Amino acid sequence: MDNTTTQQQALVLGQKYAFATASLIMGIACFTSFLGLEKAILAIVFAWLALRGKPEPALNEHRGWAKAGLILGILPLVIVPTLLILNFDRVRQLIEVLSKLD
Amino acid sequence: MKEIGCEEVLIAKMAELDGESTAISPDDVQAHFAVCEKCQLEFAGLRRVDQSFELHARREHNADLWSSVEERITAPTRAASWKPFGAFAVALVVFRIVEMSLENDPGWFFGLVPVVLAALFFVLLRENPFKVNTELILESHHG
Repeated sequence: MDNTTTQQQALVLGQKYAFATASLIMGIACFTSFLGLEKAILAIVFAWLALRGKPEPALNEHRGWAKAGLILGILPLVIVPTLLILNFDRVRQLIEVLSKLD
Repeated sequence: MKEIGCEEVLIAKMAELDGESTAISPDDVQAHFAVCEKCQLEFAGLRRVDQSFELHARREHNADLWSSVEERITAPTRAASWKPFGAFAVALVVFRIVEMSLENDPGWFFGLVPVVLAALFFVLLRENPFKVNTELILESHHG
């Protein structure tokens, strides 16, 4: 097997390895519910893993994807708590109404 | 006849027992040995030590381990067992059923149970899903 083919296979397998890990983690995330923030945390963690320089080599292509994922992950972490704090009374009323429905 | 020392006779006797050739002729050895009581006692003592060593010979194991070791080394890596994954999935489903069947709100910390289960699962697998693995080997090269 020549070197180019081996390298190509390593690249393909590396991506599939990442997909397998992401699949398992997202599958586990399906069973958790923290106002959707668990998905935001995972987006930040995956982006951090993709963007950090160590171990080498650093990611060059698709670096924008990781940065976009990082920003999209940070947004709910900022927006959701902000909305909850700004609408604290409304949220409390909503919870009371929902508990009465029970 | 050449004078033979006791030590030479004893060495020759021990060599004779081991099936080795001796510098002194067997007849000379035998002639000295027949009349020397000291040599007879010494030889008897050496024989006892020799027999004692023979009794305590190390056991030899003839089991051929290499064939099974070689088989394990050269065999392609088996796919990870599905059992821990199955057990983990069952645990998550049980958690969800329990969560849905509870009449009172168990609190937000109850939602941490799947996270704890996942952590235990990865500890069991000895894997860190959030670590870039630098020791991966191409699967096709493994077998």
